[in-house]
Amino acid sequence: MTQSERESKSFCKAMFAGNIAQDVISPFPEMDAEEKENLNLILTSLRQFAKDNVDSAEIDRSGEIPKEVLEGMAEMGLFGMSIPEAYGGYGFSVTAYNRVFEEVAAIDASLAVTFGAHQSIGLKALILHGTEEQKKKFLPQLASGEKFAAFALTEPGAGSDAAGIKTTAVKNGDHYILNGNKIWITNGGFAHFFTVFAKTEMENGEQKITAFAVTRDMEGFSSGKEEEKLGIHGSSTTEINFDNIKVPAENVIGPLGKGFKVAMEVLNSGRLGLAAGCLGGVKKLLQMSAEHAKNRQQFNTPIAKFEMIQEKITAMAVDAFALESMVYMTTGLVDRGDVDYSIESAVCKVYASEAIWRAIDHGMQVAGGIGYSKEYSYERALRDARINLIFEGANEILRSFIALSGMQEHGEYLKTVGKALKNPLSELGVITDFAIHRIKSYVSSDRFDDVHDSLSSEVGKYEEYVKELHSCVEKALTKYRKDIIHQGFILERIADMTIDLFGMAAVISRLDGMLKAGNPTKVKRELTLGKLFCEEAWRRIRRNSRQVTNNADNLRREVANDVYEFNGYNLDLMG
Amino acid sequence: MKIIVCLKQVPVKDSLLKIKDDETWVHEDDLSYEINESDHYALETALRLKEEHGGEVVILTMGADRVREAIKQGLAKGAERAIHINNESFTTIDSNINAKILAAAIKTEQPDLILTGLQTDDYGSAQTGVILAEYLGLPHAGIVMEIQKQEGSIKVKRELESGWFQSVELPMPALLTIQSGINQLRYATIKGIMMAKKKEIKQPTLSDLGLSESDVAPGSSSLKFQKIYVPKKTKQTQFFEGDPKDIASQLVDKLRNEAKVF
Amino acid sequence: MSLDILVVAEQRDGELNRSTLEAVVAAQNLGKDLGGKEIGLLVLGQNVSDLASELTSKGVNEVLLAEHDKIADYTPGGYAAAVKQIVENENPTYVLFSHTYMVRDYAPKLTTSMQKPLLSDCVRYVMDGGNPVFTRQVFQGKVDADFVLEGDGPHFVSFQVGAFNADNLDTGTSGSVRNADISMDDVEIRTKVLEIFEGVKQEVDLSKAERIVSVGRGIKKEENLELMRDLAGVLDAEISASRPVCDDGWLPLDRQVGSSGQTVSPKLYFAVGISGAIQHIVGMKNSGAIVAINKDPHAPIFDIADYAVVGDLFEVIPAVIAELKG
Repeated sequence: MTQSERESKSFCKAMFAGNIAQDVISPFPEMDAEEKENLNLILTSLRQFAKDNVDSAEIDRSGEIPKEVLEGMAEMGLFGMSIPEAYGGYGFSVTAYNRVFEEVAAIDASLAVTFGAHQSIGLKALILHGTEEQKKKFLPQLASGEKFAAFALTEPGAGSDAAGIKTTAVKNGDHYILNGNKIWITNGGFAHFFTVFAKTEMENGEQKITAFAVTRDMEGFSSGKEEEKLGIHGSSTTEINFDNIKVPAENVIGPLGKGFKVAMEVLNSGRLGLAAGCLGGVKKLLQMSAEHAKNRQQFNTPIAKFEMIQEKITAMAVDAFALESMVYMTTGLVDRGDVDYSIESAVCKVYASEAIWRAIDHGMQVAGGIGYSKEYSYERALRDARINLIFEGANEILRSFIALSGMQEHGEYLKTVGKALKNPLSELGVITDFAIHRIKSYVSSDRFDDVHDSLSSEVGKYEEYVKELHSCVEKALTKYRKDIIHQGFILERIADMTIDLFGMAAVISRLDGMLKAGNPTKVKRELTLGKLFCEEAWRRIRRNSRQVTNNADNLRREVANDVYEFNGYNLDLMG
Repeated sequence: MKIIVCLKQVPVKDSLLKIKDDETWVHEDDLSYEINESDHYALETALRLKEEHGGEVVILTMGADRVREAIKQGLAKGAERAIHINNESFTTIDSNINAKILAAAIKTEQPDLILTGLQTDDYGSAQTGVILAEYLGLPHAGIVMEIQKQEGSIKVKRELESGWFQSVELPMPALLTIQSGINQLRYATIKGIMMAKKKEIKQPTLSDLGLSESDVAPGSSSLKFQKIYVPKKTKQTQFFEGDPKDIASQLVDKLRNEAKVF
Repeated sequence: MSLDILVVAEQRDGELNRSTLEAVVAAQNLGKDLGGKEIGLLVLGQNVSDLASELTSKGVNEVLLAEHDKIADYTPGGYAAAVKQIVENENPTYVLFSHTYMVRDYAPKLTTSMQKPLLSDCVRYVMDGGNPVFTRQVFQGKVDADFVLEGDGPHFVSFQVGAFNADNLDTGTSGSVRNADISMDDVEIRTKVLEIFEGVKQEVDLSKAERIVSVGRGIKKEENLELMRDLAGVLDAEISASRPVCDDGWLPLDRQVGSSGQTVSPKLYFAVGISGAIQHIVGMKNSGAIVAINKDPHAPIFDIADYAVVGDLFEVIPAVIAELKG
């Protein structure tokens, strides 16, 4: 049974119904002691390797990750971490894998993108849905790093609307004939193994998406030239083309016609990895910025002492803490199984990609002039980080997804609008396949119980605003009914409320676990960070919830329409 | 060939050290630790010797629970097993006591070779290895750069000062203190890390080693530690700031007219 | 005559290690501070009587000469056995060494065989209530630690190379040579010395250089040496390096400054991208004007620099070159 076929619990979806599924997120997931020890050893080894071998400025300049770096990481076994032992990997948990990925991203963004395209998404479909034969055939050489994997979904006409792909696979005897092309394929220039999504005709004549295992050595496969990108210069991004490729029928990954679901599951995993990577970046930027602030003297004072600098440092630290709580809460849920984490991983991705962008903004401001200089790594970090807001689900489509899939459950709960909501959802391609989830019977209430006393005010706010989310959703659905899918302004606010509420829940659960585990003085730093996050989060939630009903959206629409109509600003004060 | 490698875990090199109010030591709670640099090279050297000549590498270390990470790292890199003398109280600044404990643990092992680092990056006395050899009654060579195993003996290249070297031959068993940088350290692989969990880590107590608390009490030495503190800067350093051109003109002016170096 | 302070000299092929005189200066200071103590200087080896005679003029009360073929070449076993006998016979309160590579190799063996501690690598001492308090560095020079030696002695102390300045040697006293009897018959020398050789022919004598530009890992790449050579050119300076740069083969080993390389004291020591590990600092800290350019404001090199720039050497050095060219 695959993840999406079984009924599963979703913490975020429950929040839309005003429920707090405390049994899902509490206690905060903890890694098994032995794996933790192994993980620390891997991190130590990886850091040393990177210190000795990885020169990010050079990777950025040359547009290439040196072969020795990839070979060294392969030798360490890093490319097979998440692959089961039976297929030459090491079977680490999703949590451990993502913690390593976080570190890789802190070392070098190009390296992280290459690593993630291989392991977070490139070979993930094989692990989730591959047959025994497929796994035996492909995974060992991918685990050893001898060969690399890539994930090929996006096409010229199908970005966020992934269901709109045009690549076709036509059954012909014991194989399929694959035609079409994919763009923005990370690792496209050198990967051997591709998870490719193509339209196949079903028995009833319907065109449905199916996933295929395609290898570079198949006749008719070609990849284009390297894209010239703003950042992540060391990663390979190319177009790949399929010209009458004969793909054996046994290379179909997962059920025929269920490729879309396969893709979405893979992307759920990918988004978590991306979020962990951004966390690594935020931590690194924070460290760089804090060090600079302490060393840089102006007016005979280290600028670290100025509160406008402290504001930026603090914001980065709070983001790091909240993001860390959210990411490893979610990876813990994945490792536990039986939980639907599709909204949570989207929440992590959105928060993470925006947190790293804020961190760059703050870090560069703290650095001042040198931040803008090519001699320092801030500008590279800026170029490298920007893609995170775009790939693996642009933040706009993910916000829609967060709000709509939460409300869809709620819609069913409300009965009255449930039916109406079901159909229109299919208009947003990405979202349709999540429609099959059901809310399992929760041990849930509207209370977050038995939390350590030091967190009572945070818990109070959290409970209050879960109710508020529920009420906003009800108001929005009552007002817009099925037209809710077109209410992007509203959806964004509801998504943002969800993001902050999940952040609060993850932070509270983490702190609660630490406080109960022992010495409260040891938790002091975490407690301060967590309390500050909650304080800021509920204020943002309050603002968003007020604006669900009380807003200037009509003016916004009008401005946008005017700009479109007049082809731009097209006003001139002087003339 | 059975090789014992003595490893010490020390605060990572760029640690920010905070001295305790009573000036007895630094605050250890916030520190991260790593394998002492030259010990790490000793481990690498031992592993290479084993890979070339066969045998086993045994890690010997003492210290609190945290040193388990250093041990695991060593096992992951390829050592066969480890002995961990786990007791915080007798990890002292007195090389003599440390060597005495290590010697007691080595006696029952009968190794062919004992490798230690040249010196630790924390206390830095550069004595433990040599004292250990004396306690064990073994010949030693210090500041070793290269080792060649021969029949029943070893030939080593020792570093002298100012670019000079000495080549000496020692009968085995012997103890060598290893210089940093003499080879390329390997990185622990995930495979090695997974294999490490099956490897033995013995934790003998003092009495298992035939020692009593009084044997390791620091009070018996005539060397008394008083306090630690941040050194006072003896030099007045002039810092130059500004854009590179300003810096250059100030600096050159000082060199010409104040330091008069031309 | 009874000796209060014994300094152990270090020689190879009859040539005195330059740091021995620093240890004599330490002994002279300590002798004065303890109220006029007799100082002996021990010379060990074979056929080193000429050196011993020479050393009578170095401000010690007596030069002890111990010769034997078992200590013709240095071995830890031979040296430890010989010095032990002499210390037992002479029973000085203090035995002082310069903390050379040789002393590291045998002194702990010697002191352990006498059930004594060795207070190694001290950088200074101060008197407190009539007793010396010795300071040695821990955590790679980041922290100082104070120690005292209790009881009657002999107390064994080694001083870091450069801790005392040989120029301050007081040659007012002249001594005589006395042969110290040692019996080495029962001493088994287990270490066989095969050869002593120079790793790289020492082609440059940096100790004579007036100005030195010294480079560290901070220059990042071998290609960047060109810029440093330009700087050395306009300064009319020799170029040298810290150990990692020579280990990487960017510069030959004979251009290495530090405990395993040369010890220098030029008028100008221009340290570029050198963080200042203790092993480097001991080789150059007695230089005249020390300039340090480094990105890391916490680099220990700044503790001993006269002129310092926290910044990017690739920006600063070209500007300095331009300025010097005028």
